[in-house]
Amino acid sequence: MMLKDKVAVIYGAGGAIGAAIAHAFAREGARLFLTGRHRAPIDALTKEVTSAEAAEVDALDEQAVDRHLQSVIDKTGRIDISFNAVGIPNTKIQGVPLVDLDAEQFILPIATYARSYFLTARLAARRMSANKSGVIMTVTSVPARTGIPLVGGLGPAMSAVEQITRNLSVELAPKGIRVVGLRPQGMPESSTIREVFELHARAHGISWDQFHGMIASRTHTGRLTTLEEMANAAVFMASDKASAMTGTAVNLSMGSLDD
Amino acid sequence: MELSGHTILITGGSAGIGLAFARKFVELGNEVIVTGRRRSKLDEVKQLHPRLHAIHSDVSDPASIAALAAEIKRRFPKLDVLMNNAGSFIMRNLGLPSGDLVELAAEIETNINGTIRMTSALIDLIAPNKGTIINVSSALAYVPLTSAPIYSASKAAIHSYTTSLRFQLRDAGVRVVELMPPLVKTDMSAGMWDGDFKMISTDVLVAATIKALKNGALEIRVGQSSQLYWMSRIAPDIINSQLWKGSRSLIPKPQNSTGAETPSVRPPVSTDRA
Repeated sequence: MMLKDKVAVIYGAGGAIGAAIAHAFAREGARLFLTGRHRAPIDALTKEVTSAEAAEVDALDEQAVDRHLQSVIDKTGRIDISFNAVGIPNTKIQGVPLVDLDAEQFILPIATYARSYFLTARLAARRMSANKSGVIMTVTSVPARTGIPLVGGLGPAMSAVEQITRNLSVELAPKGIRVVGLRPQGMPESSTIREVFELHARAHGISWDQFHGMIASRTHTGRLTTLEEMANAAVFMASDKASAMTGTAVNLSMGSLDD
Repeated sequence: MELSGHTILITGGSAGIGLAFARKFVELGNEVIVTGRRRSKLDEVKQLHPRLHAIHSDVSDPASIAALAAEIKRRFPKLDVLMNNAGSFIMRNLGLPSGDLVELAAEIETNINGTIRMTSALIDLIAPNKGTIINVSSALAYVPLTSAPIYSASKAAIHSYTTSLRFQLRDAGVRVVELMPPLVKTDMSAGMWDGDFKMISTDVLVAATIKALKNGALEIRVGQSSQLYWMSRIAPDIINSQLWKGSRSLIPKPQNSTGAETPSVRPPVSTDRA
């Protein structure tokens, strides 16, 4: 088991990625603290995985995040992994050209993703410094690194997340804390991406399947990343075996994005 | 029954009849989840049919069913249609000792227990959602295919169970449908002879079933299933003998010196059991 007895906090555990990470981390022996804004899916998740507790925490609320982390420390004495899988609905954010996009909808993802990552990461880092070890992880995506039409503010939001990763790493790695991102291709197993593909397909005037085929054809494998594959990479990156990797985003784009 | 706007779970949905129904239901405007036991088949489904949700699960394993139910309740709380389709079909020689008494009951575990357990695990979602349960039995519930005696018996059991289920769930507003296909051309029937009994394609089965569901039918007998039904009532000895004659050559012969049966003389492609 690659994460035996590691204490992991997952933000956004109610979403598809958060749940996949929870399953994978639990299989590898981690002790999980699952958080999110909606209690129901996280409570349900605790029934599926061993050794998991649920809590309602808004990752944009600094006090709430801090209180929750303190409660984790009180129970376990440490935090080994902080995993940011926070996401927001894309309905008004994607599928609209930048020249037409509402300014608030443009800024919303940039502010939300940067702030939630910054808050959860730095509050975890304070605790991890005490043990001189820990891993801070986040989800990013292909629009961080390349021009894609109709993604609105999500592109810059993901770029911000990747740059925050590098800056956190250079400040925290001397204290034994690694900071890494995971960058999959769009994963239609998640309802988020199903919706995103629908938004883009409609904007292009093609069917969902056609849009999916278009994106899949850009990969070397001819298919898109699965949640399980992302979770497998996350396990490795969270483990001590990935000690050489920090300040970087792991390329899970199936070859569609060059490093 | 109105056929769009539902959230539908189909066991054994990564191939054959299950996958054919899954694709049709997506086309009609439903959210569809398929489960299967073979990960390779599920991966294939994910690539070829990305609109389908594909979850690994084995209906012959109670723990797997419990885990699936938890995941479904979390991810698809609006689930309102359960199609118990996962099935296993094996030709057996009852005159020889089985080498493996556990394997002997494989079809019981998948076909009967899988259906019963899946229904039980998800009834507290289906009932509040006033949903529908579709159990796939077979024409062979009425008259056994003697070369596949345990499969046939399992389908007869499903017929009885489904009848009871229908009565029990009537007040709860849950519709219970039994689908009884004839011989259908899939991996499971590959290599079976096409002589006395015509094989139909999954497309034909799906089309006939959709029509019947729209008409509100609760016991759906497609194609030759109707004939088997009537013959089983009017002249059971005749039809039983007919199926015996047609299938006795398919019963596995003794394969080794101990005389024990090697259970499968069916095609090398393994059935999708979950």
